[in-house]
Amino acid sequence: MKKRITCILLVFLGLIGCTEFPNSYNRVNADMIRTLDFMYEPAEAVPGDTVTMTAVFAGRQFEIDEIDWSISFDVISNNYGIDTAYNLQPLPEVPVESSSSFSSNTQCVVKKFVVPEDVIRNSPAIPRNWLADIPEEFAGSIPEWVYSLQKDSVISMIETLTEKADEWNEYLQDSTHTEETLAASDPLFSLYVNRINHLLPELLQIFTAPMRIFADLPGAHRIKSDYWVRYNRQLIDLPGSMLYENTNPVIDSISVYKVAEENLFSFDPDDDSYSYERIRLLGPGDEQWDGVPVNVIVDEGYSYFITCHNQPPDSLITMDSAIVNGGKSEEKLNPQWYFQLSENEIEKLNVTEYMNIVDIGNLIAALYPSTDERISTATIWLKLSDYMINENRHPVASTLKEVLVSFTYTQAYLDSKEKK
Amino acid sequence: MNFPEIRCLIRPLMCLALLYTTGFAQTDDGVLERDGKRAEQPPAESIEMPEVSGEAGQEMDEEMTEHSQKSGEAPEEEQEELPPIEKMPELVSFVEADYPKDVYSEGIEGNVLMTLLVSDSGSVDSVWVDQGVHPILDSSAVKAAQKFEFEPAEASGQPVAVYLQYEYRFSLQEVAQDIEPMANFGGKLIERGTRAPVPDAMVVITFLDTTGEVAGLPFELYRKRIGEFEGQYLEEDRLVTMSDTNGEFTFFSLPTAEVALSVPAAGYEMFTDTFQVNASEEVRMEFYLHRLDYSNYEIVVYGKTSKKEVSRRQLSLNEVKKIPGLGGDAVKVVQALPGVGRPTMGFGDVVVRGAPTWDSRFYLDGINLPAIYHFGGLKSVYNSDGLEDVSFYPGGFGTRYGGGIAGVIELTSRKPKTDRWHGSADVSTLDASFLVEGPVNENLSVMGSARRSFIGDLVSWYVDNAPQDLPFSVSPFYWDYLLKVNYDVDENLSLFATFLGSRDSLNMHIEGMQGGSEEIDEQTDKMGASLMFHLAMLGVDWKISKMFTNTFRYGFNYWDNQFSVFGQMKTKNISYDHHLRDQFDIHLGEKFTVSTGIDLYLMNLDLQLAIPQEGGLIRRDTVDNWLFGTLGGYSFLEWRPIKDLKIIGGLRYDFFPELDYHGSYLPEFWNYEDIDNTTRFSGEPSARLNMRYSINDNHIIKGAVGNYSQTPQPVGQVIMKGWGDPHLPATKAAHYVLGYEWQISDLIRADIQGYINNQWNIPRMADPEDFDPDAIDGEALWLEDGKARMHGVELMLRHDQGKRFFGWLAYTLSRSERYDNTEKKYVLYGEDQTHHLQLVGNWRLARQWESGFRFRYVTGKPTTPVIGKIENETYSYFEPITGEVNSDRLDPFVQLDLRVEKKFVFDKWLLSGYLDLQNISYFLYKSPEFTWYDAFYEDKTTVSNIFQPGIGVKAEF
Repeated sequence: MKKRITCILLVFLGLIGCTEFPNSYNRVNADMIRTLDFMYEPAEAVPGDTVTMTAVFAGRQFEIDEIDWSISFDVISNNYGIDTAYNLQPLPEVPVESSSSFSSNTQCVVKKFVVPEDVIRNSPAIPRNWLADIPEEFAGSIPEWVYSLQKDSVISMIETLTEKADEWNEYLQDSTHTEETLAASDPLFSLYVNRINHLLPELLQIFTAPMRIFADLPGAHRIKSDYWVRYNRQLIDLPGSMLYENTNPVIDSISVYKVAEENLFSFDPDDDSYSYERIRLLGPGDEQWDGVPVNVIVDEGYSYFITCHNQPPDSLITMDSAIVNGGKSEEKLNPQWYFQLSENEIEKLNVTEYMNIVDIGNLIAALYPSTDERISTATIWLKLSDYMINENRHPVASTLKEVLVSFTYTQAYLDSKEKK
Repeated sequence: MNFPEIRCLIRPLMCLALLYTTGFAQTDDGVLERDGKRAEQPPAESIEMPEVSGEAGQEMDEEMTEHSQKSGEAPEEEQEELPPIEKMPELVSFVEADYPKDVYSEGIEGNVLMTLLVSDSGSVDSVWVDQGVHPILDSSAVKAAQKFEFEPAEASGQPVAVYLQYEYRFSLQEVAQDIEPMANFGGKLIERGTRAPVPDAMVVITFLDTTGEVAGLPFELYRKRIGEFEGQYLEEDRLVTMSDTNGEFTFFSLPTAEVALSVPAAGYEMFTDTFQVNASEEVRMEFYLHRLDYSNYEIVVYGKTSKKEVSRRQLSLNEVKKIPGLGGDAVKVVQALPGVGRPTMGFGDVVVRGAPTWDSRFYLDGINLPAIYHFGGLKSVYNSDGLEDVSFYPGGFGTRYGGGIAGVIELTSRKPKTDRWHGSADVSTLDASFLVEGPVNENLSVMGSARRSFIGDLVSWYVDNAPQDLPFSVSPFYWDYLLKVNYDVDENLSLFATFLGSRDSLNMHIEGMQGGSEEIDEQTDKMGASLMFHLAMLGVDWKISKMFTNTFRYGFNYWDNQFSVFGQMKTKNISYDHHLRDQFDIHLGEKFTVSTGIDLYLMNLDLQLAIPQEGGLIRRDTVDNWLFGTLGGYSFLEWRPIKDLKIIGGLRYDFFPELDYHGSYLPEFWNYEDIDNTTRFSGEPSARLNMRYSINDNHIIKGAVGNYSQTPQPVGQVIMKGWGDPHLPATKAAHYVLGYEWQISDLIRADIQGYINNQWNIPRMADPEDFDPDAIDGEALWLEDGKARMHGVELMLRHDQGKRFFGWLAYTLSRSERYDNTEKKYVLYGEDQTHHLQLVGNWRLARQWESGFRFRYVTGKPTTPVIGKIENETYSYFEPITGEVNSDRLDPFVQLDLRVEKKFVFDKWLLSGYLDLQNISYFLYKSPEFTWYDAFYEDKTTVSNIFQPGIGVKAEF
C-alpha cells in the first residue's frame, strides 16, 4: 500500500516535472542489479509444504551463487506496518533442477524450502490474545465461545478440521447422505456447519503466519520477500467451504494498443471510442521465451499502450465481507513493468529521449516510444502480482513474463518529434 | 438711569472738563485761568475714558469730579462772592449724536470738543464747539448736547449754572461693535479616502482683498471686529477657527469676499483653496484632507496594554500587514517572531519553541479555533481586517489557557465600526475578499466578510495551458466567511455574536487512474481532502460594577474533515464542539485582582476510518459520539505588592474525558516517578506563576514558571483501540522563563528571554525494538515514555513605527530534543532550528509609497541520513536504512522577501496595490526544504521553494 501511494506521488511529481532523477524504477540499467520477481509455488503454503521459489534478476550480471539466503519464520508487524523479523536462519538447501523461460538478459535462481509444521502455532505475529488487534466490528461478530478460546485452542480446532475434510467428503459422496445426516452423526461436523464454517474465511486471515526470505546480493543490497502460511488449501474442500486458495496470476497475453489519437494518457478499449490496433507481443501458450522480437511501428498521430490479459481472479471473499453487509472485494492485479534498452543504442542519447512506460495503477500502461530512431529494441518484463485490498495478511502471489519488442519509426513521427 | 449706564449705553467716550461758570476765564490758548493762575486743562487723551462701565465708570466720574474741584475756582473778580461748588452737575439724560453712514464710511471719526453751559435747572443752555472734526459731526454733536439733561451743580446748597467742557467722540470702532455674529461659512474636515473626521484642526481664512469696506466700515476694522467673535480669532490678519470632534468648523459674519481657506492640520498635507463667500447666505462644504501617511489608519494600533504574561508578544496590526511574505495577513506575524520556528514549505505549522503544532492552542476571543490557517499557512481563516489584536504566548502563559503544552495564539476580534458604513474589497493572486461593517442603530453594529481563493483557478489555468498536456487536474480552493453582530446595551454591557466558517478543499484527479477499491471510495481516480468548519459564538462583556466584571463566551463549532486517496483510504471526521468560557474578575483595590473562571471544551466526534494496514486489510473503524475535551477550571490572583512589582499566581485543573488513566493530584513539574501522585481521575492540576518587576522606567525583569498538560497527540489516534493505547496518560510539560526588557530609546526596545520547556508522557510510536514476540495482546503501537526537552534564548530588538521606519530583529538560539529510545539518549527533534534570525524593515516613502523587506536565516532542518537500502521484493520498492535520527542537517535556509505598496487616495475611498516578491533570493541561493530520494535511495535531490511573486489590490470605502 505504501508503495502504491508512493508510486502515485512519484507519478504526480514526475508529471509536473519535480523529479529530475536519471534513473527510474521501471528502467533496468546495465550497471545495477534489479530484482524482477520472487515467484513462489505454491503462492501460499500450508504447514509442512515444500515451496519452490524462483528469483529472477536483471541488470548487472553477478555471481548468482554468491547470494546469501536466509529465512525467518518470526515476523512481527503492527497496524502501522512497522515490522521486524527475528531468528534469521540460512535457507535450507533442497536440491532443485533449474529451468528458465527467460532470456539471457536475466539471471534466475530456484530454491526450495520446507515450511515447518508448527509455523502458525509458533508465529509471534499471532498473539495469545489473538483478537487483541482486530477491528471491533469483526470481533463483535465472533461468538463468545470462539472469542474465549486461546490461540492454541483455535489452531487445534482448525487442525482438527483439516483432518476431517477427506472423511466428510467421502461420506457426503454417497448420495444417500446429506449434511444433515452427517451433522446428526458427527457433533464436530454439526459444530462446523452451524458455528464455524461462516467464520473460517475471516478466522484464517488472523491465523495466517508471515515468513520472510532475505537475499543479500553480493556487493549490493539486501532483498526481503514475504511469504505466508495459512490453512486455506487444507480446508478448501470442506463441505460448504467459502475459502479460496490464492494462486499465482496467469498472464495469457501481452499486447500493445496503437490508438489513433495523440497525447492520450489512458485508454480503455471497452469504454473509449478511438480506433486502435492491437499488437500481440506474447500470446496464449507462448510459455517459453523465443527471442523473436515483435515489431511495433511508431507513427505520428497515435498513442501507445501496453497491457496484459490474465485469467480471472482467485476469489471474491474477504474479511471485509464479514464487516460490511454484503461488501465484497475481488482480488486485483497490480502490474509492474520493467524494460531494458540496449546499451549500445542509448549510449549517445539523453534520458528524455528513451522510451518509457508509465503505470498509473491500471493494467493498461502508457507506452511512450523513444523520440530517437536509434532505439530499435527493448526487453520488457511484466511482474503481475495480486492484492486483496480488504484481506488481512493476503499472500501476495506473482508471476513474471518477458517480451522483446522492436520499433520502427515513421518519418512523420520523427519529424514531429524533431519539431517539438 | 444713572450716568455710568448712560455712558455704557451711548458709548462715545466723553471728555469732560467741568468749569464753574464764574471766576474762570478762558485764555486764548484754551486754558482756563483763575486768579491769574493757569488751570491746566488735562490733555484729551488723559481723560479719555476707556470703555468701562459700572464701578470702573464710577471711579472715573469721581476722578473727573476731583479734577474739576481742584481747578474749579471762581473768577478773580467774583472770588469774594462765589461760594465753592459743592456738587458738580451730573448727566442724567444722554442723547446720542447722529453718526451718518456717509460720514463714517469715509473713515471720518474723531472727538468734538464742546463747552456746555449747564443751567441751574440742569438743562444745556448753550453749546460752543471748541474743537471740531467735521461740520456734520460738529453739528450733530451740538444738537445732541443741547438735549442733554443734568442734575445741576450746587454751591452753598443752591443750584448754580456752570460751564462744562464736553468731548463727544465719533468712533468707527463703536460702529463696528454693532456687528452681530452670524454663521455664514463652515464645513467639515474629512480625511481623504477614509472619510474619517479630522478634529482639532486649525482652519484659516485669508482675505484676498483687504482694501474695500464692509458694511460701511474699513475692511480691517470689520475683520478686527469679527475676529473678536467667540470661536474665531485673528492671527496675523488671518481669521482662524478650529474643527470640533466631528471635524466641523464654522466662521461667523464673513464679509462677501474671496477668501483663501487653508487647513494646516498636523499629519495632513496643507489644504488650500479659494472660495467666494457671500455675507448674506450660509455655506457649508466638505473639505477632504490628504493624510501624509495612510499607513496607520487601517486598524486600531495596539495599545501598550498592561502585560500580564511574561512572554506575551504583540505587534501593531498595521505594522504586520506590511511585512513581506505574510501576504498582508496579520495572523501570520507569529511566524516572524522569536520562538517560532520556520515551517516547512507548504505546511502551515506553528512550531513554538521547537514543539509541534498540535502542542499549541489557537483561540478566537477565548473560544477554540479549529484551524488557524488555510492550506499550508497561506492565509489565516479569520480576515485580518476584522481583528483588534493578535496575542502570542510562546510559553509560560497563565492559567486562563489549558489543554496545550507549548504556545497560545489568541485572536481578538474587534467591534464593528459605528461611525458610518465602511467597506473594503481585496483581490490578490491568492484570493479575493470583501468586508462590510457599520452601525444599524445606536447600539447595534454589524461586520461581515467573505473570501474565496483563486488557487484552484490558477492551477487549472496552468494545467490547461501547460506546454505539455498533463493527465491530471487539481482543484484546490478555500473560502471563509465572517459575520459579527455587536450590541452595546450600555457602556457597561456589551453583547456580540460571531459566525465564522471556513473550508479548505483539495481534489486531484488523475485521468485513467485506477486506485484501490470502490468499496472505500467510489472515485478511485481521485484524491481529496476537505476541512470545513462553522463556528457560532456568543459573547457577553459585562462590567457589573467598579469591582466586578464578567466575561462570558460560548462557542458551538461544527467541523467536517474528510480525506481520501484514490480509493486506497478514506477518513471522515465530523465533530460538534462546545466551548464555554466564563471568567469573573474581582478588583480589590489597586493591589489585588482575583479572577476565576471555567474553560469547558467538549468535542463530540463521529469518526469513520478506512485505512489500509500492512498486509492488505482495510481497517474500518466507526466511532460515534466519542467525547473529547478539556474541562478546566482556573483561578488566578494578580497582586501588586509594590508599584513596580506584579505577581500573578494561579491554579488550574483540567479533566480529559477521553482518557482512561490515573491523573495527578499534585501539579507535576517533572515526572514524579518516585512518589505516588495518582488519583482515579483522568485529569491534571496546574500551578503557574508570573512575575514582572520594573527596575525603572526602562528596565524590567520578568519570570514565569508553570506546568501544563494536554491530551496525547495526535488527538484520538493514539488512544484509539487498534491504532493506539486507550490508557495513555495526558502529556505534561513544565515551562521556565526568565526575561529582561530594555526600553533603549523612545522607539527602540529590546526583549530577551531564556526558556526551558520540558515535556514527558509524550506518545511515542513503537518501533521494532519495542516489539515483544511473547506479547499477549499484540504489538505495541504507541507508548507513553516519550520525552522532550527544549531550551533557548530569544531576542526581540524592535524599532517602533517612527516617522519613516519600523522594523525588528528577531533572533532565537534554541535546541529541541527528543529522547531516542533506541539510542538511549536525547537526539535532535525534527523541528530543531539552532539559529533563527529574522530581519524585518519597512519604510514609508513619499507619495504614499512603502517598501519593506524580510530576511531570514535559519539553520537547516535536521535530517536522518540514509545509509543503505533494502529492497522489498513483494511490493516492488526500496526502503531506506537510516542512520542516527536527525544526525544530519539540510543546508541553511536563507530567504529575502521584498514588498512594495502604493496607496492611491481618492476623496471617498482608497485604493492600494502591492507587489510582494517572496523568496527573491532564490536566484542567488536555493534554500533547501526537504530531500527527495530516487527510487533506489542512491540519488537525491533537494527541493527548494521557488520565487513567488504576488500582486494584489485593495479598495476601501
